[in-house]
Amino acid sequence: MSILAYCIVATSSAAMAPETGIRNAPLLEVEEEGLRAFYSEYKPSAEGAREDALAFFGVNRAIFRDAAIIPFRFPTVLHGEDELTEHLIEHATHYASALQKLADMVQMEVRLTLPAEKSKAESGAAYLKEKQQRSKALAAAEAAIHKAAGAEAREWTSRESRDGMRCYALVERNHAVEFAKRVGKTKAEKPVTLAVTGPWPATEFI
Amino acid sequence: MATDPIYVGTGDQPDISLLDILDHVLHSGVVIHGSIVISIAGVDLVYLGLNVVLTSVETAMRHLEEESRVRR
Repeated sequence: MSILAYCIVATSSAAMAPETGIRNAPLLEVEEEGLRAFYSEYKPSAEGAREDALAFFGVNRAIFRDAAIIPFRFPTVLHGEDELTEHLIEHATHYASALQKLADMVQMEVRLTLPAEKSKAESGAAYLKEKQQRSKALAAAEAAIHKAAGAEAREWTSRESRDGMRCYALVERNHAVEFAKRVGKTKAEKPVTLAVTGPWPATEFI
Repeated sequence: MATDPIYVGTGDQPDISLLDILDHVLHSGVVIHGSIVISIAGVDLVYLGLNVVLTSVETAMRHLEEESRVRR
């Protein structure tokens, strides 16, 4: 029987898992090297994939409520518990160290968006200039929100996305709302818009 | 301390959308290479499932864009 892997937590954490996973299958766990990984029996099918993805999110969110987690990407389907155990043993040092670092931390995200515009450039040089202006606008917005976040952001990383930029801040769990308030008040210069979301598991800082 | 399960959203777009959630579920987290191997008659069911999810994301995005146009 194939299984679906949800997430990994430290055995020492206060993680409380729901009793059931996707499609009401019992939520099971394996424990190895100071780590717990949650899974349930799962038969992948195209039907209801979106509902499965949302249910998967619900399970991880419930566990994340009380502890740092390392989520698996949906859908991580394995042949059985043994495969999951092998994976835990193989990566135990890395996961244990990441979970220790992230024990009281969450990830807050800032999405900087530029409106999708068809280029009006009539030459290669003009196109590059347009692109440079968009990059400058995003960089200025990122600098402003990073400054607004101040010491709330213990670590910071960012990357360009299809529609602008994603910024990720590692924030203390009990400072997530304060971070969102501080950064949410920042006014990005038009045409950049910003949205702050979180708290999410700190996947960008593993 | 427990994290409030209601995700906060602030800024110009204060709502956490279905897209944010699906984006995280599909693109964030650990990947085990070689894990997606289940197939029937040469059709990889997991990839098929993912395509459905992604199609739903695109549909949701279209709805959101339409809603936003109506609001304006």
